[in-house]
Amino acid sequence: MVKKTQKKHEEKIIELEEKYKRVLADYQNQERRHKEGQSQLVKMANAILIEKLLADLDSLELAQKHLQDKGLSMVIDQFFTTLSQEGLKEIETDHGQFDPLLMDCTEVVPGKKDQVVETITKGYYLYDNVLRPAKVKVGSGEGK
Amino acid sequence: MGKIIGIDLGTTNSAIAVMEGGSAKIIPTAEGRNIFPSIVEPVKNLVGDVAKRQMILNASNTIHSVKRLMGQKYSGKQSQKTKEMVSYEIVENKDGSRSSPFRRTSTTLNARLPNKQGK
Repeated sequence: MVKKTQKKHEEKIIELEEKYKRVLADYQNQERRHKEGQSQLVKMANAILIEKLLADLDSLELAQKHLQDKGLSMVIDQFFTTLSQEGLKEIETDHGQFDPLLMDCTEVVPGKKDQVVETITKGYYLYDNVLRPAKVKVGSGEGK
Repeated sequence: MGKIIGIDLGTTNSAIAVMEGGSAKIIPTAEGRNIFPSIVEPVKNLVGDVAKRQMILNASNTIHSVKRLMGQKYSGKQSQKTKEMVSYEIVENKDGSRSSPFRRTSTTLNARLPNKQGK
């Protein structure tokens, strides 16, 4: 009887030790993730606002393409500089290889296979994260 | 005991959650989204938004709307209908084996699905 109870207690100790180790590992993971999350939150706090402002930047650039106005060009530069100071950086797409991590293929057109033929909407990074992928036209491999 | 994850597999979008401290916590994508398109490109190993972005460029290798086929026989009406609709090839499966790195997974399915698709 005593032996049986002792065995039961030993099994309980092993089970509790296992549980303790798992809870400790979970806590350490949680602590690490919390620290990472906090620094990420500070960096990405502006992401939603900046993403909304990108629509305005697109409109201004479209207007500039049409009007070719010097004053408007200065305003766009100033606007982009302000956003750059917050961590915004343009994704390079011009005639490079199509990369689905950074670009969104909206149309397949005649041209070099898997090469960006035209950028429809610019893409941007916010620090190291892709805030908005670039919308591009990609070559199909058939000549024009 | 390994981690327990749950997959909400939708026809269009999916979400994955992990059990932490007794409650389910959604795992966000690298881009910070809680849901992602139910699309995969198995040749280049692309999943979700990234797979969707190259979909029109690589339509024959990009798998989507796969939930329509779950639990269905190849010769079934639904499979044949889907076959005509999707851009990838659907062939009859001879090998039914599958494996998972997780010890337990649970998948929620739309309540309107026929019973055989929930199995």
